[in-house]
Amino acid sequence: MRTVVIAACVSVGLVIAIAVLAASTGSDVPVIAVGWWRGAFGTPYNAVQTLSFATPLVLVALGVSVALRAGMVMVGAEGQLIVGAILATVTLQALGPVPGLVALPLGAVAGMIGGGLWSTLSGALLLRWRVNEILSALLANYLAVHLLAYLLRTGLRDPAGAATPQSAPLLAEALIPRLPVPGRLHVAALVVLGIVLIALWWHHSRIAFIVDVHGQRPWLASRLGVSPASIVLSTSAVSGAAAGLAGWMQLAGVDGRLHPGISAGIGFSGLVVAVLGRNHPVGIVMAAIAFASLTTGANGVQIATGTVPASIGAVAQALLLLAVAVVVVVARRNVAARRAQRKDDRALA
Amino acid sequence: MTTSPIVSLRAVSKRFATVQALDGVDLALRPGEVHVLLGENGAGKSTATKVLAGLEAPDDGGIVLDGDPVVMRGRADSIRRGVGLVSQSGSLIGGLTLVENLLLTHTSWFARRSTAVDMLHRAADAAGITLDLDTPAHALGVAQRQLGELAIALAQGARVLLLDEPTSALGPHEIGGLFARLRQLAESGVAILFITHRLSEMRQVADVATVLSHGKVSLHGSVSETDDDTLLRAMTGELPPRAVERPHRTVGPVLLRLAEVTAAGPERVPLRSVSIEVRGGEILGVLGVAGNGQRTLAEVAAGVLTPSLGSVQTSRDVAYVPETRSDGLLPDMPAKRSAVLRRLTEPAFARLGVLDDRAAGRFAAELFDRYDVRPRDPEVPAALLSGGNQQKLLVGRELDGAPRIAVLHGPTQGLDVRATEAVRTEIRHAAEEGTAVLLVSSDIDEVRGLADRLVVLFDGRVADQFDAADFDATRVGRAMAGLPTTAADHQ
Ligand SMILES: Nc1ncnc2c1ncn2[C@@H]1O[C@H](COP(=O)(O)OP(=O)(O)O)[C@@H](O)[C@H]1O
Ligand SMILES: [Mg+2]
Repeated sequence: MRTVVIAACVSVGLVIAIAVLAASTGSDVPVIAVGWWRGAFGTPYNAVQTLSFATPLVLVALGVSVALRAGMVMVGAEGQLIVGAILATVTLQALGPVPGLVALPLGAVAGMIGGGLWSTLSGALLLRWRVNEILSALLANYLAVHLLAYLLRTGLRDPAGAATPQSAPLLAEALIPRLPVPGRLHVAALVVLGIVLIALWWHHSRIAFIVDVHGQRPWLASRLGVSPASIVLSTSAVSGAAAGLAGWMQLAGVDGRLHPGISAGIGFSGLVVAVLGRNHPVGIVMAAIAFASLTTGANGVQIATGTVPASIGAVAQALLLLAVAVVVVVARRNVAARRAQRKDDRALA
Repeated sequence: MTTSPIVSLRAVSKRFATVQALDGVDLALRPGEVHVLLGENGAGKSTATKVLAGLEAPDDGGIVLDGDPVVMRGRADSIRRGVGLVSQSGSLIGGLTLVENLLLTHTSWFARRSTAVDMLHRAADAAGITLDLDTPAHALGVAQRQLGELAIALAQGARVLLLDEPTSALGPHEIGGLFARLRQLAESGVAILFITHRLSEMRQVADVATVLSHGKVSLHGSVSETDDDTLLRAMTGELPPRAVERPHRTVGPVLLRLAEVTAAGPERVPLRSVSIEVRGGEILGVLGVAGNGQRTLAEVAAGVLTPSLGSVQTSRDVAYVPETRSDGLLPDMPAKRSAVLRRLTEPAFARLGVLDDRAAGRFAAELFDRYDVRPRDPEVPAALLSGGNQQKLLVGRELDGAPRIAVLHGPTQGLDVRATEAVRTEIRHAAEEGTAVLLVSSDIDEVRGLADRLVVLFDGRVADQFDAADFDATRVGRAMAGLPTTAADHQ
């Protein structure tokens, strides 16, 4: 029920954002709307492209939502994703030529370990010295970006490559196979689907509620035998592992090699998607698709109008965040009040 | 009676969903008069103050200010018209100091910090209270927060003061001081509305009384001409049961022990080398003027706060009712979620790891029945229950199922006469079942009536301790004021 409301809000916000922007460039709104639809979902290829953009967003957002429920605002996914991709690259290169059945799981695990360790760093700083998790995660992001740049100029640099800082391409066995569909959707998208199902169970689990309790009243959670340390460390490890896994997917499923732009802003967008999806797995999937459709749809808009640049997508994404943040806050209050009233009436009836 | 009211409610009605919170209420606040508003939990007292302060709009009826009908458009409007409010739940922003909280409500474009500090100092002096102006509100005790709100209201130039249960967290010393100042303020022409559950307090300070019962005025009259029984009958429709004699309990082994504990908690005063022991079946009462380390002591005993020195023997499953009730609840979630919190890990509340919300709802409904939490609806967010009902939910959850140790900080805060007696009976009952109870309260009569032994805290230390049988009001008073009490101290 709630997720439906959220989805409605997301779509309305999306349409409004694009319409406002369109009006400002002087193009026809219907032309833009049709262009956006074509670009995002109009052809099988475009729809698959949208899904493939949405896949890592879902993964990162699911991880971020776990940390959000524990009361930590997780802005470190960007860095965790990068470190996951770095560790996966290092592992796969060290491994050399091995069959895909070995290379794929090892790459995935390396990505998760990289991301998980990187975010546990913030969690540990929070626990030990009460360093604000936002601050430490932003610094960790910064560090990850520079570590990546450094490694791409030194140890991981493509020996055969030119001046561009990038790694050697992964061996064919280490690449995630494509699904037999038009567009670049890889097999690991099915893994993400599985993770969504697990997240759905977790969302309603007792453990998740205890994490909520910790997020609001830590002493009540520790009285249930769950220490703050275990919650902070496990939730930050899980959210980091999710981002790291997304890093491996971008590496082995999309880009095929490590390069400075490997994260493509997915870490930050994932946070946005988690907030838009209000921590609910289904909400997150819908929000991720909506968010991704702004990128793919913008290409369609550019093609349809010829005057509106594709960067309209990025602007719309920012506008959307603002609009939905307001909607979410207002909706939350109303839902609570209305529910109280409805139940009250029933109780006395 | 001859002066005309500054502000009055005229036949005001207010309905929340199916609850008729106010039903044709008339209330007149006159300059120079302290007006006490009495009534059970949920009678509509807070709602009446909120209507006067412009926080709730009446469905019917209206407000008359200086003889003219007015519409209060929100809090800013009522502040401008001279209505000051010290609300029951507190309205200070936790992260800001008192000075900043005052600045926040300034209606002029230029808010100068130094002016605000001056104004607050002057207001606090006028009210005879000492305030800590530069500590974030969340770090202040309940008493300091409420006094701070009072000073802010005065600094805003209030002609009408609405005090919603300002004394429920204060000790007798502070209450005495506060009352003296309230009388002075009244004499200077301020109209005061004062909500309390304690009749003795009312007799000390109030001129006229209005009793609300289920949203209706059930009695209005001068305090000196109305006796306690009449008031109680108007509040509850019956007389409260008499307090029972203290039964003799068998005392077991020491279950809760603090040895030489030094701890820095949220209060300004840390705990300094405090040792206490509570045996199973025993109630240890802790007295003291608010802010002398009680909250820190309670948190350490409950295992919420780790002391910097000394050792603590407690149990993980200690029942704890914190001083601020919302600290023990999940305000935005359905109340059943708060109700189930102590028993959550029991197998009944999950299936295949999934939280069984229905089982939680059934458990909560049963708890609501036993502790008379109203409305009987576990789906309502805890924050929307009235303060007294939140307290009943919290105390009920914690005392349910005979805990080994119970740390209760102000367990009857904000409860009406009947609910207070019910909670005290529960506390006695728990002790009979073998629970070691640490009872921290600013209500001397409560501690005296329940505890087997008493400890007085002053400035973070144990100033005195004695058996309840040796209770002596002067001795307690001296200990609470930090004066030497025993013969040994005189030598
Ligand atoms: N915002 C609200 N929404 C729904 N019910 C409310 C709200 N505020 C108060 N009530 C209900 O109105 C009644 C009166 O509440 P209140 O004025 O707080 O009582 P009290 O006399 O204890 O201060 C209670 O039954 C309470 O549950
Ligand atoms: Mg009230």
